[in-house]
Parts: sequence; structure tokens; C-alpha cells
Amino acid sequence: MKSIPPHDELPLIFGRSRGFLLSEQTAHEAVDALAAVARNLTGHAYGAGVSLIDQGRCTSVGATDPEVLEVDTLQYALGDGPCLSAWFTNSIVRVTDTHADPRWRPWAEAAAAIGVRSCLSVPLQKGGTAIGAMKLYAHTPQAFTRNDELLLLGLTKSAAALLGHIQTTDTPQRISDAVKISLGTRDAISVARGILMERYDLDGRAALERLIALSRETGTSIAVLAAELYSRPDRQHPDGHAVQDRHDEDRRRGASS
Amino acid sequence: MTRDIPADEQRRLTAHAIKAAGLTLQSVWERYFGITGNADMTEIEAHLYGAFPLSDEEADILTHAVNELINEMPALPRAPYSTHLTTADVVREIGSTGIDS
Repeated sequence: MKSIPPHDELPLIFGRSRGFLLSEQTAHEAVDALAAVARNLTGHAYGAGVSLIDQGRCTSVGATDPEVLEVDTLQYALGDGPCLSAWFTNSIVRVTDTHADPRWRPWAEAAAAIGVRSCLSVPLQKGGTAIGAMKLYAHTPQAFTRNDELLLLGLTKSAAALLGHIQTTDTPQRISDAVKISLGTRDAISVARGILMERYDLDGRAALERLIALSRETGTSIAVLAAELYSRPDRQHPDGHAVQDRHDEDRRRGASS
Repeated sequence: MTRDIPADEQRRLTAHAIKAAGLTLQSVWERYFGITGNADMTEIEAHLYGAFPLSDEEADILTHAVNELINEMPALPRAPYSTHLTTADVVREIGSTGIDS
């Protein structure tokens, strides 16, 4: 068996499966590039962008154009529009003509006034749930074809993968805290083992078995027990009641679950 | 210390418990590491598939990590009855209607 990983690798290991290793800036730059690709590959689009919707808060990323931001912001302000609808219904929304489309009239009229005539919006999915939408805007009606839809669908997969893995600003702190806590409990348990070995003339294995047995009997986590022994070496030993009584509450919780 | 169950049985049932409780390998390994487990995550995964033997001590630490996580899971919601009757209430009720004695 390999020895435990060096400490500088630990944050990586703790962060690995949490998928938190992209910075927000990296992801947004990549999404900006994807939006530009979307706009450039569909000849009729004048602008593209991505709306992220999280707990009711809408943000635009990757907008290729100030107008895109303006039309997006209109949707957020009105609380209604094709991108919010694509997100909410988790399906593709096509607006072929903002002059004629009966849906989202306030938004459509305002968008038409800015010069937006058609829109194609595709939901961004992360694990089956929508986290936002990627959209194309055009100055002409009926600007988008089936091929444009397929292209945008393909790009949304990449955009969603990128945006779904952004680390929030406190992630490095949380990972570092998790590592510290783990190292702390390891340390406390090792010390507790040492105390038991010395006190009862046990070998390391037997001391661990005693800790595990006590943890099973009391329904208290081994780390908590170890912390007890660690901080109060003169208190009752692990067969004793002082430790147990202090964990009545924990035990009841354990028993009821 | 001799084993009460074969190592392979312990491994199989531990893997089953992890699956049944819907625990992730990451969360299991983090707890296992936190309570002095020394194998890395790949070794734990390989062990659970039966491809990497752990020492009895490491296997017990893994088992204990899994059980701690299961203990900490919230209890399933229980269905409520129409009344909050206790046994004493029922006895009093039956006594007052004269059915008993």
C-alpha cells in the first residue's frame, strides 16, 4: 500500500470529484469564445450570449454585443422572455418575428424597437436540470434554420459543461478547510490510539478496535470520541461512562435515524 | 484478532451498503481518510470491486467510515396517525367503557 498522499496533493484530491477546479474567469472566457463561434457560424445572427439563472438571479455571460446585453436585461427586468422560457420549460424556444409573435409581448415590442426581429434560445443543462440558456439574436425575421438549432444545441453542451464546473469564490477555502479537518481528526485519533495503547498496554490494532467498538456502542463518531480522549486524557477510559454520558444526545440521535 | 466473517464477504457487503445508501466514493474516502485510513481513493475503489486487498485494519476503518456516514443520514419521514394516543390512554379508554373486567 502506498503511503498517504503528500500534503500538497491533498487539496487536489479533495477537490477532484467535486469538479471545482475551473475558475469563474476561465469558464467565462471559454463561454465568451463559444458565443462568438455561435454568432459567426450562423450567418444571420448579429449577436449571441448566455443567460445563467441561479436561484432566481439572472446573469448574462458571453454576450458578443452590447445589444445582446440590453435585450437580455429586458427579459430579466420583465421577468419574462424567450430565454427565461427556454430555461423554465427546459426546451428550445424559437421567436420567428418579434412583430408577430403573440408571446411575451412587452419584451417582444421592446426588442423589436431595438431592432431584434428573431431569436433562438436553447436551454443549458447540467445533470438534467436547466441552469440557463444560450441564445442567438438576429435583425431579420425567420433568421434561423434547423441547422442553426443543431449547432446551438452542440455548443450549449460545451457551455453548460464549462459553466457547471465553475468554482465558487469560497471553494478553495472550503476544500482547504476539509483537508485541515481531516488532518485534524486523523491526528486526534492517532493520539487517542496512543493513549489507549499506553494506558491498557495494547498494540495499535487492539487500540483501534477498542475505539471502533466504543463508537459502535455509543453511536458517536470515532473522531468525537478521539477528541474526548485527546482533550481530557485524565477522564474515564473508553469502557467508562464519563465519555458515554457526554454523548447521550448523540446516541439518541443515532438511534432514531 | 481472528475474523468473524471472511474478508471477501466484508468487502462485498460494504460495497453493497455504500450503494444502498447512495454514498459517493468521494464522501466515503474523505471520511475514511479522516479517521486514519491510509489507502488512496483509487485503491478504495479497486478494493470495493474486489481487485485490491486491504489489510483487516484498513478494511475495518473503511467499514466504520461507511457506517458513520449512514448513521448521519437523516431519517426517512414517518407517517402520522389521526391521534397521539399512548398505551396508557388506550388502557384508560377501555377501562372507562367497562369492557375490561
